[in-house]
Order: sequence, then structure tokens, then C-alpha cells
Amino acid sequence: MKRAEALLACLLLAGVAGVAGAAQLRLDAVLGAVEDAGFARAEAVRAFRFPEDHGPHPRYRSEWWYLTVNARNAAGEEFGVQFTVFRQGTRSAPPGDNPWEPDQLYLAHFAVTDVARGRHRATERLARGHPGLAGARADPFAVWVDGFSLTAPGGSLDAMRLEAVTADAGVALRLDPLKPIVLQGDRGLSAKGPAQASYYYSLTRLAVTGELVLDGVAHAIEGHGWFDREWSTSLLSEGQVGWDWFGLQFDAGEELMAFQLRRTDGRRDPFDQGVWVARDGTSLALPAAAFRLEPLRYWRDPAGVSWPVEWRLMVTLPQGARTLRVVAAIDDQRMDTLLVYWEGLVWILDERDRQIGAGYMELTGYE
Amino acid sequence: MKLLLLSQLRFLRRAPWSAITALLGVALGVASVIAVHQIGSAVVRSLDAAQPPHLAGLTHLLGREALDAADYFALRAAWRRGEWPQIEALVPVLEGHLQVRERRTRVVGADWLAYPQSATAVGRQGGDAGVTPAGVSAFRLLDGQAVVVDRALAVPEGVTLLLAGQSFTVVGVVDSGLGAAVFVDIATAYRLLDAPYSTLSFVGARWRDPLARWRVMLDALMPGFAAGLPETALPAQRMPAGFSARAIASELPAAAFARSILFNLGALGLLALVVAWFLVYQVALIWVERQRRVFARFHALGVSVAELRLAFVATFAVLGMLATLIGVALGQLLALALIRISVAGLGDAVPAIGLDGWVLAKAVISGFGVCLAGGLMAVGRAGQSRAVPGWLRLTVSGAAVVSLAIGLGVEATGLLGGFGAILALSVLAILTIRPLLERLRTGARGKAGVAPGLFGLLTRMGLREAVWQPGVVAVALAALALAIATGMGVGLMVESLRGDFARMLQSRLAGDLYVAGAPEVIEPAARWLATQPSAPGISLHGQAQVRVGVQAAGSAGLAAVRDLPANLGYGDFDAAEGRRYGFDRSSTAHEALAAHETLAAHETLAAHETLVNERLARQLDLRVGDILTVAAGRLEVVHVFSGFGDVEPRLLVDAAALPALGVLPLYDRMTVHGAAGQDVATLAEALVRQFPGLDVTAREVVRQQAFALFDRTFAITRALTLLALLVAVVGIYNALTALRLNQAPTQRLLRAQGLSRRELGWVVLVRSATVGGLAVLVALPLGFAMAWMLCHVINPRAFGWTVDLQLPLAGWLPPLALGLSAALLAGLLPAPSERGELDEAG
Repeated sequence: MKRAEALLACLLLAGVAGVAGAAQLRLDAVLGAVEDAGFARAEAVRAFRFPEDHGPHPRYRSEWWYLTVNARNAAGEEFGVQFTVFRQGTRSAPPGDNPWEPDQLYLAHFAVTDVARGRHRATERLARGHPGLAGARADPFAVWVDGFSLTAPGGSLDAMRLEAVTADAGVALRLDPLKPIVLQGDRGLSAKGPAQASYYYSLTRLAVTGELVLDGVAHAIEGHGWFDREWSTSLLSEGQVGWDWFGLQFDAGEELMAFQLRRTDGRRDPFDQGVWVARDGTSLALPAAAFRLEPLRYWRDPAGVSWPVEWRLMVTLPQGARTLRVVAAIDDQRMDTLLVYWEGLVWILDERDRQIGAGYMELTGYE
Repeated sequence: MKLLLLSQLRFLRRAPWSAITALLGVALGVASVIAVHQIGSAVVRSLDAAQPPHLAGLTHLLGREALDAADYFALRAAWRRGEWPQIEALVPVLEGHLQVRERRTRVVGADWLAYPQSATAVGRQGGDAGVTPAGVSAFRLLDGQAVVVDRALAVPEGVTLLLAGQSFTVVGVVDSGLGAAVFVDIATAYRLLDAPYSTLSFVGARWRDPLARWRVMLDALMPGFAAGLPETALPAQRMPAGFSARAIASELPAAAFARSILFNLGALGLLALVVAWFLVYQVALIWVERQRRVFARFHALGVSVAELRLAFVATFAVLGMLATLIGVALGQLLALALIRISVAGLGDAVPAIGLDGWVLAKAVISGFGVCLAGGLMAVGRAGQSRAVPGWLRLTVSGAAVVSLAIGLGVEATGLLGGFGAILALSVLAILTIRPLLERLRTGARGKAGVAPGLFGLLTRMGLREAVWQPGVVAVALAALALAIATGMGVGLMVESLRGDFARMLQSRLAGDLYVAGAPEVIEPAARWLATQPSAPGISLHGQAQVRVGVQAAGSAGLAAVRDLPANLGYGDFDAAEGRRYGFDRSSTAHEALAAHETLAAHETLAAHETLVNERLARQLDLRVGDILTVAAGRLEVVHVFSGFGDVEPRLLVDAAALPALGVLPLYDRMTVHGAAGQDVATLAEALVRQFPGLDVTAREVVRQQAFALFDRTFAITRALTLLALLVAVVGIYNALTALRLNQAPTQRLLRAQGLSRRELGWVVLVRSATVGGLAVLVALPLGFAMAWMLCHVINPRAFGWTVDLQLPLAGWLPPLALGLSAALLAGLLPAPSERGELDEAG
């Protein structure tokens, strides 16, 4: 149970910028009561510096690199790829000379959705920060966990390369940003609660090409990716039980990110937020009032947990109000890792049920 | 049909003894199955929990010359790239030693995060959360201030332990089987041991086991039996370049020992199951025999055979279900009692026994299922005397002979082959029973009858009746013979081992006091003893863990072709010490050595010589004269000694050998030989007063402790054998009762012709004695053969030592006498309602 709690905390720290509180306390119980004290906190707007900020921020307790891809092969078969690396600092003191000291823990999740065959597979790896095992650096950019790696030849995120191989799946992908970096929230400071915030930026559209191997069959794929970076020390606030997060890419060239934090009292959380990214890369922050999410259909997993796999998203955009449907490409994209959550490829349907894009959805805190 | 069922009920009422014995027979059969299963499961769980936590879930240790962290990372990266897909986990481990509370303590540091995700709790087995006392989260150890300790350190959970001057909180206590040991995160281990960050002791690996599913299924079906399956072998071509792999089992001799015990239990479980099924079938057969006349009457009244069979099977099925329930309850109680006396010693706690699906399935199959199937078969066979077809007998015999030859001749078949050979022999013996009975019956039918000149009429009648119905007696006779033979085999093996063990203790326990303690206490204690008036004789002993290999043929260097960890014992190896291990210099081919080499007059072993125990000799296939690589040096084997109770490979050297081996002498044991007339008890008290940290034990206490451990280990074996015998006795009782019922009309006729009850009783006694005698006749050679195989095949393969087979009466007479007496008693016992049954039958 403790492991599950640890991972729950890691995951709570992951998908949405800013979720600490209770889950963080659970993580503390497992990792040995890591004090907030000593770690820096995301409290004020700061100037982002690149390439340094692509690398790790060990002064902050938690951090992640999050990449999703929706792509097709030459036969038009559709695939989704998710690769996430979480970093968790276990102590704020500067590292000593012992490279084995577990000052930093890294957790990687790698998942592939094969729509044509209706199959989703996921793998996770956990390792201590050690040059031979797991780590991250800014220039040349690299983040790696026990054989999985996301790298770039230089400090920028141009020509990134994702390499991950498991017993039954593997990817070797090249990723090139098509739009500039989008700073989330207020110039990159993303508030999640009255006293909780993170630093958060995104590359909302990357060109993706490469090879995906499933059960020994290689597929040359092309598509689009989404890359998030976020770090913080104190994220969750009291009364939050989970979230529903959407990163959507429209065929017309725009992107929409929106998340809602689900509260125990059932009320709308005022810190729900989103961002709209236009074709030219300009972005517009969306407050909670600008969108509404409504579950339409649930899928019940073998453990009896119901996951909302189809949503109505009503959003007010610069060009007017839209009502969209977000539908899971396949229902079972549950991350069958130690902590079970749902993260997978979704389709965007317009008011006339035409597919107008694709993206990723993340659902946590469902029991 | 209603009438039929009413008749069945009436039969039950009129002949309750039949119902009770049938119920008892089936219940006992089920109980034996349940008890053996539960005991096996409990032992499996106890031993699993006693595994060193850093080796839990791993199958092999990988190493290479001058292994360092870079090798590990390169290996890991290649594995993660997809090379060696058969590897499921790789874990770096750093080991060393520290003095903790005046004890040399092993420090084990592992990267707990590198274990499969399902096993990231220290001391947790394969992801079954909370099955071990420790169950400490791997994350808990990452803070560098937490430690899991072995129970041998006697440090309770929650206290602060000082290691190398640093404070640690004990967050878990485990029975690792390693003695004094602490388990920490690998980063902490580097800090404690002050080791360079690039060094590693070994890399633990989990290799995919193609037999894993079978092992799990087999263990669930017959706990302990999977221990007989071969270890997962690593083909050389699959090894990462430059690395060598050793099976974890070779590093854990105690685990190998435990596996052997488990397999023995598994084999006994199989025996119990077979005997129980025999019994249940026998009960069904007898039940039919008892009702044959009733059925005949119904048949004459127009009831069809199918209806009769249905009524019978329904009744018997109800009986089977009832007996199953009783048997399950009885088996649970029996298992608990046996676990209390035997298993508790393995884990210091009585493990809980639950009823899982497997054991219930076995109970239902053994009770209800076999009753049903046996009932159907018995109905089909009632009144018939069909022998096994000749071709089938021939095929089974051929297969048994082949199994016997392979199991005995091919050592690589291991325990499975050994027990397979015993089973094959048993089958061959059982196959002789029916022909034997047929032959005797043919003889009895002859013109002359049964030895007319030798016996009187009544005796000849008894003899003739015993063999007259082979179909009724054969199955029960086989079960009884098998149970007697097993009892004899196990009894002889245990008694032989006990005899060898006693002789070994006699020769080994040459001192008056045995003293153990930390080296820094032992040595001053030895000096103090030397200053005492009438100074006692003292010999100091130490031990170290070394790797022992066989010198490669033609190699002058130190490259070893096979190696394994072993316990190196050292001390002053004089002639008396040599005799303790059965080594007499004058009897060896090395007599000349003493004359012109470095051997001093009082010494027995030269610095380049060693004695090895049988276990080490077997594992490395050693002979006298072989050269071993030991630590940094080389030693010549001059003698192989028996080491009953040695659970690990062991070799002995004179202390003079240590410098060449690069082993630092650290004496932690001392043998004290009191001077003539000296009161050793007073000396022991004085020694403890002077050096409170010492553990001083008198010879007699050591001897008693050794035998207590020995007897406890084998108590369970004896109890299970006894159980099998008990089940078989009930079987033979049923068979004899059936004979009696079948011959009731004849007896009534004889009675009418004037034979007294006493004379008729004599006939019954002779008949029972004959049946018992036949069982003994079959069991006697089978039992001795089993004993030989246990001593010379099973024991060497399982434990690494050969037992000198002896034939003490205590080993073979009790089961034989018990079997014979039981047969006599079963024949003589007048069933309480026999009259009623006879009336019913007649």
C-alpha cells in the first residue's frame, strides 16, 4: 500500500501542475518525511532560462518531463505513445560525493496504444539518480531512466530523440518542435491552490517521425507530439481528490490544454485552468469559467472502477463557443502500473461528430 | 428407487459397524492427505520466509573477475536494450563485514529499487505484501538511517543501532539464515564499509524459469514436491560476455537442505495420497461385497442392475461427503499437532494453516471423488475376480524397470529420479501380490490342498481362506505392504543416520567444554585458561567464508573451472584432531611427507593440505589428491570426511595454511580439554564469570542439543509414516472383514457341523495371520531395498552425505510388527454388529 501511495504521490505531482497537500504527506511517509523546508518553492513569476530550465531543478522537490505522441503508420493505423519521467528529491541538502546516494529518485512510465488492435501496454521503471541509471541534464539535453531516454543533440529541444525498449514494445522517435514554448499560467507560474503553484511550460506541437516496434513488427510512424515541463515543491491543496486533464491537438493546427481538479465537496475548483494555442503559436490562458467538462460515458475496468472515457467539453475560444466531444480511442488505456490511473489517446469530435483532432487524456483519483 | 434407498438406510441401521468403519477409513484417508498437505505448505512458507531478503526473487548471482560498477551498468544497459530477454531483474549488491555488538556481522547493501517492482519491500517475497515479519518498504531504507537486521543480532525493531559509529534505526527484523547480518541501502553500505564507489560484490539476477508455472502448480498440488524439479540451468551461450553465473541455491546450502526436506515431505505426501486412495477404493469394494446378497434379492425382484448401482453409488457418495468433512477437520487438527512438534523449530513460530482451494480440492477428490469413482468401479467389479491384463502388467513392469534403472543409474535425475526409482520398485513389488495370491490359491485348490502333513484341518482352512479371494485382499494387501515397507525404509534410514550421527558426535566431541565468542574475547580467554592451575588443554578454532574451486587441468595458475562458497575451518590440526574427522596420516599415501617435509611431529596436516566434507566433495566431484583453489592459494585434498548435519560445503586446514591462503586468523571458538580429575563445571562457571561475553557449553549439553535437533527434524517423517501405516491398517481391517462376510455361510455350516466358536476363531486367526504374513513377505525385501536407496541414493543426492546402512531392530521391526499385529487384530476384532451383518449378508 505504501508503494502505491508513493506512486500516487508521484503521479499526483505529475499530470497537473500543482497538486501537493495530502498526497505529498503520503509520499513523505514513504520516503522518510521529506521536509518542504530546504526545498525552494514556486511562489513568484520568474524569468525562464533556456537551455538550463530544460534540465533538472534539484532545489525543487518534484519535477517531470512529459511527452505524448499521436501518430499513424503508412497503412493509416493509429498509435499513441506516452513517455513520462518524474523526478523526486528525497533530501534538500546538496549531494555528496557518493553517486549511489538516493538524493533523487526517477520514475519513468512508457505506454503505447495500438488502436487497430485495440491494445494498450504500459511499463514503468524506478531508479535512483546515478549517472549509470537515471538522471537529467540541460545541455546537451537528456533525461534517462534505466534504459529509457529522451535526448537532444544540444541545449535546445530541437531534434529530440525518444528511445525506449521493453519486452514487447519499442520506439525510436525524432521530435521537432513546430511551435515556440508556451508558458502556462501567469508567465509560467501555474497556481493550483491558494498557496500552491509550479513552474510549467509546454511545447504543444512537435513533428514526430520514427519507428515503433510492437511484438517484433516495425511500423514507420508519423504524427504530432506534446511535451510538458513542470517543477515544484508544494502542489496539492486540501480537498482535491484527482483531476481530469486534456491535451488536445486540432487538425487545423491549434491546441487546447484544459484540466479540472476534482474536489471532495463536488464544487468546481477555482484553480481549474487551460490554455488555447493558435496556429501561429500565440497562446491564451483560459480561466475556469472559460470551459466546462461533462462526462458522457464510463468504462468499467476489471476491478470495478468506472472511468469517464467520453466527455463533452464546452469551451469559449476567441473565435466563439465550441461544444466538442472527447472520446477515448480505446476504452482500456488504464496504466496498469503499481498505481492504476488512466492515460491515453483520445479523439476530438465536433458538433457533427466529425473527428477534428486527437490528443491525450489523463484521469486520476478514481476508485 | 425409494425402496432401494430405504433398504440402504436399513442396511446402515442394521450394520452400523460397517458404516462406521467405512466412514472411518475414508475420513482417515482424507485426514492423512490434508495433514501432509498442510504440513508441507507450512514448511514451504517457513523456509521461504527464512530466505535472505537480498536474494529473494533472484535465481542467480553474476560475477566476473574484478567486477565493478561499470560492468554492472554496461550489463544493465545491454539488458535494457533487449539483449538477454530471459533476464527479468538485475540487482547490484555490495557485501562486507563490520563488528556489531562484538559480533562479526555481515553488511549487505543492495539497490532495492532494482528488484522487480513487485518486490520493492525488503524481506518481502515476490510481491505478496506482508507475508514476512519485515516487509519493510524499500523507500524506508533510502534515507540512509534505517536498517533491517537479522534476528541473530537480537536487536528489536525500533531501537537505535550503532554501526561504524553511526546511528541507525532498526526498521525490520528478518530470519535471513545468514546469522549476524544487517541489510541496508547500497549507498549506506558504501559509507559503512568505506568501500570505493566502483566496487561491487556481485550482481543478482532473476532468470526466467521455464518451469516456473509447473513449480507453482506442483507446489500447490503437493507442497514440497517442486523442490525435486531441476534448477534452472543457464546455457553458457546465454551468459553475458565475461560474466559467470552461479545458481542462488549453490550460495545457500541451508536452502538446498531445506529443499531436500521439502521434497521428502512431498514424497511422503504422495505416498499418503496413494495409500489413502487405495483405502477409499478398498472401502467401496468391501461395501459392495457386504451388500451383494441384498442386491441379488432386489435383482430377483425385478430391480435393474443400473438402479441398484445408482442406489449404491448415491449412498456411498453421501458417505464419502460426510467422511470428507470429518477427514478435513481431523486432518487440520493432526496437521496443527504435528506442526507444533516439528515445524515450529524451523521458524520459532507455529505458522497458521488455512484451507485453500487446492487442499479442499484434494480432500474432496480423495474423499468424495474417490468414493464415487471407487463405488462405481467396485459395483462393476463386485463378485468378480478379474486380474490385471497380462499386457498391462507387462507394460507397467517394463516401465517400472526402466524408471528404476534410470533413477538409480543416472545421478543427474536427482531427487526426482531417486524417488522415481523407489516408486518404480514399489510398483514392481505391488505387481507381485496378485500373482502371488493366485499361485497360492492354485496351490490350495490342488488335490493335496494346503500342506496336509504339516497343519491340522482348521489351520489349513484358515490358510486356504486367506488366499481364496485375491480380488478382495489384493488392494488392501498392497497398501499395507507399501506402508510397512515405507515405515521400514524410513525407519532404517533414520536409525542408520542416527547411528552415524552418534558415532560422529562421539569422535567429534572430544573436548569437555565448547566455547564460542568474539575473537577479541576468545583469545584473552585462552590466555587466561592457560594461567589456571592444572591448566586444561585448549584448541582454538576459527572459520571463514571462502570460494573453493577445482584447479583446471594443466593450469599452473589460479584459474578455477568451477567454484562455490564454502566454510573454511582452521585450527591446530594435530593427530587427535585428525582422528575426529576419521583421518589417520599413517593410512594415507602421504606417510613419506612427515619424514622429510615440513610436517612437524605433532602436526597431521601440512600447510598445503586440506580435509573436505562429503558435501563439498560431491559438489566439486573431488577425490583424494585433487588440487583446490581456495581463496588466494591452493590446497591438496588428503581426506574426505562425513559431515552429517553439515549444511554447507566445508574444508579444514591447519592454521599454518592461512598465510598462503590470505586468510586472517580470527578464532571464535575454543575447545577445552579438562585435566584428569578436573571439575569442568566449575571451570566453565569461572570462565563465564571472567568473560561474560562467552558462550560456554558442556559436551553433554552439545550432544543433547544435537540429538534434540536431529529427533525433531525426523519426528515429522516418522509421524507421517505412522499415519500412512494407520491408514493401511484400516484398509486391511476392511479387507479381512469382507473376507469374513464372504465366508459367513461356510462358517455357519461348520458351526452347524459342530465346530466350536474357539475352533472357528482359530480359523479366523490363521487367516488374518496369513494375510499379515503375506504383507510382511512383500514388504520385507521392499523395505530393505527402500532403506538402501534412501541411504545410498536419496541422502547423497539430497543432503550430500552417504549414510552407512545398518539394520538395527529398532529400524525395521516396529513397522513390521505393527503391520502384522494390525492384521491379526483386524482379523480377530469381532465387529460389534457382526452378527447383524452376517444375518443381512446371509
